[in-house]
Amino acid sequence: MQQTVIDINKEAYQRFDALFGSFEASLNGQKSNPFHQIRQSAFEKLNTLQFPTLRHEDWKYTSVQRILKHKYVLEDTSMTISSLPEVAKMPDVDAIRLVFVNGVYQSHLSDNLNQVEGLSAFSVEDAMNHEVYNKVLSSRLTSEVDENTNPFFQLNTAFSRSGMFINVDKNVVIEKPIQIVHISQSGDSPKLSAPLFVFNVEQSAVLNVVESYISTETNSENPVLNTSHCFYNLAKQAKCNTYKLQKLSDDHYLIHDIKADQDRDSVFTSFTADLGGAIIRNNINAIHGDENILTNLYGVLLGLGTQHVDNQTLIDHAKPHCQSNEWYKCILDDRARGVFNGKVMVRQDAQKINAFQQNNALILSDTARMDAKPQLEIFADDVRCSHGATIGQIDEDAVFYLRSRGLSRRDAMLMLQLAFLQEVTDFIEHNGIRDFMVNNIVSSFEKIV
Amino acid sequence: MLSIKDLKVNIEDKMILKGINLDVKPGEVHAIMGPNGSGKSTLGNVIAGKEDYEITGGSMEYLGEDLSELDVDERAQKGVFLSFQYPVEIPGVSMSNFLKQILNTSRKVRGLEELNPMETLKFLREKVNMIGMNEQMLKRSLNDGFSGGEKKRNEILQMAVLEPKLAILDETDSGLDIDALKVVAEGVNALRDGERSFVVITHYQRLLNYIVPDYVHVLHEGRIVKSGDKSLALELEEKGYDWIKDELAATV
Ligand SMILES: Nc1ncnc2c1ncn2[C@@H]1O[C@H](COP(=O)(O)OP(=O)(O)OP(=O)(O)O)[C@@H](O)[C@H]1O
Ligand SMILES: [Mg+2]
Repeated sequence: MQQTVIDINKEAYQRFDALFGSFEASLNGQKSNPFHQIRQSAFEKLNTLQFPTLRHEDWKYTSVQRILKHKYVLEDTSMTISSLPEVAKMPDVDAIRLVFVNGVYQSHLSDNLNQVEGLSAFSVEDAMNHEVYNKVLSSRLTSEVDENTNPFFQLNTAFSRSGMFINVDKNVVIEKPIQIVHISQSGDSPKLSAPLFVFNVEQSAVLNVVESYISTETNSENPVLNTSHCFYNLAKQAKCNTYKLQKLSDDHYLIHDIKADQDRDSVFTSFTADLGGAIIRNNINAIHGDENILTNLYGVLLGLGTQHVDNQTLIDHAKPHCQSNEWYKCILDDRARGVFNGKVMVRQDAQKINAFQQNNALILSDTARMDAKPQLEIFADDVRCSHGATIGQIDEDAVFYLRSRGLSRRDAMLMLQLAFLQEVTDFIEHNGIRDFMVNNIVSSFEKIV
Repeated sequence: MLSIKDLKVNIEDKMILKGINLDVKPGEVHAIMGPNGSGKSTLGNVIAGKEDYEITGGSMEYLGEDLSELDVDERAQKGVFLSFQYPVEIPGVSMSNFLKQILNTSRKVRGLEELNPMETLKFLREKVNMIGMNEQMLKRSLNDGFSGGEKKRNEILQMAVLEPKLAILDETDSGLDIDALKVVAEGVNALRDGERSFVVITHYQRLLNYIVPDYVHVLHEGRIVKSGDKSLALELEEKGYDWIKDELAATV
């Protein structure tokens, strides 16, 4: 008999329940750390939330049953790799690097953040006991577990190991970007990797973060599921840019969650490049806690094969005189599917805000598909909000023009597609990181024949 | 160089070219004139390789090869160049990237070494200055927001970069001020080396003062109805096309 979606979800939960039991057993003394209580409440919350089906409004276009049918285990904490894969390297960027394989920290490939003036890094467990940082961290995590309705956030919190708390001191500009490399590596069984990062950027401090999700081997029997949560707390006048490169091979999954809490005069910018993976889901949620805040969310997506990439954004304009810019560009070929759901909430107090949202998709084949859903909920009257979604094809007249100058059809198509995405990559301020992203896009295009 | 025999072309079942004969030898300049809608651009596009046309009869031979067997990019790589009447705007593709790529692609197919970035830039700057364009234009998107005259200059710039064997200029003079016209003509004349051939489609005799044609043809309703030397262009300028139409009516 055919299994129903509900059955699959139930069985998945039971498997995670068993896994949680053995995970707890392996923790020994660490169970007394206050963070473990947070894990436990997250796991309880997961039970009440349940895994989503397509009936779930936020998951209307993305089925997770393909993800949930596997029996995941946590990677052995002794697992190491000997060297950093080429794809992870950022040739022209002097970065401070942290490396994880299937969620296991690779100290021999990582830099010590604490050696950087103005940066302090702790394990989440240690930060929970820290006399200064414990407050911001525990209140943050507790309320997030309470409020976050994304079951994968709860799953991530429950299974989080080697979580990190990173603090940037007041008035400090961290020149070198922090690069966090997450490597997915297929092994003898499906693996769950659940990184948790909390960045606390103090007043007038500046931080750049690059996250790379890459894979070394692929094996559809034994995929890696990455759930991931990054929390950014931006104090007054703080500035934080976060760049994500996702270039997983065809069998891996990523459910990525960003939450930014912004205080007065702060600027938060997120750039996402989705260039691989079987099913990718990105949630970004920015909350404006005071006036004169800027949020920029940019994304590019190149979907090939049967890839499925779902971008969900939510900007909560709660205060006046703030601004948000969102621009996502997607190219979908073969049987790939893209989803963009951009929610902008403008609360009654949020007068004089400016919210711009744009989603453009290029569809290269009859079987590729894009679902774009801008969602504006406006309760203030003196605001400027604009949104637009376009879905189109490559302009054949432009292809002809380029070919008439001697470029092959393929080169002409690549030139036009790259130009299409470059409108968004041009927003990356950091030259080295922009080159890194563009080079990765170009090498992904080379897979198109 | 180019030998077109009894070429018949349809667009959506409508016959546009009704048997064109045109023989262009190396080093020659042919001017094609004729009323609006007579099929001049169609002829240029068919030679360049636009696919929306159905060739229903005749033949086109270029350097001994059957042109209809070649795709548009292959024709370009073999030295065919069309300066478009209406160049397409391509936002996002930067002029400099585009020019670099077409230059190096064309060098590669000609068996020349690729230029390094410094040499490329130097080469492009030279050409840009020769065409009388501002170097700032290299930073802009291809034809995006260009004025009519800028677009035409840009076509000539690309011609200068690619150094084609056969260049077809489709109304490159339209919309140009007198200085730009001279620049375009100089660009063309600089490339005239006794080997390169040009087919110049125009409505105005004034261009032909600068680019002196060996032959002038009149295209009317899909046929070349009259050919002559440069004095034919002067005659057309003076009398318009009606006398040719009358002549035609008389012979039928
Ligand atoms: N894509 C098309 N679909 C239908 N008809 C077309 C198409 N392209 C050209 N035609 C028709 O073919 C005929 C010849 O057009 P063409 O552009 O070759 O004329 P032309 O001689 O270049 O005119 P002009 O001097 O105005 O540039 C015209 O009647 C035009 O309407
Ligand atoms: Mg024309």
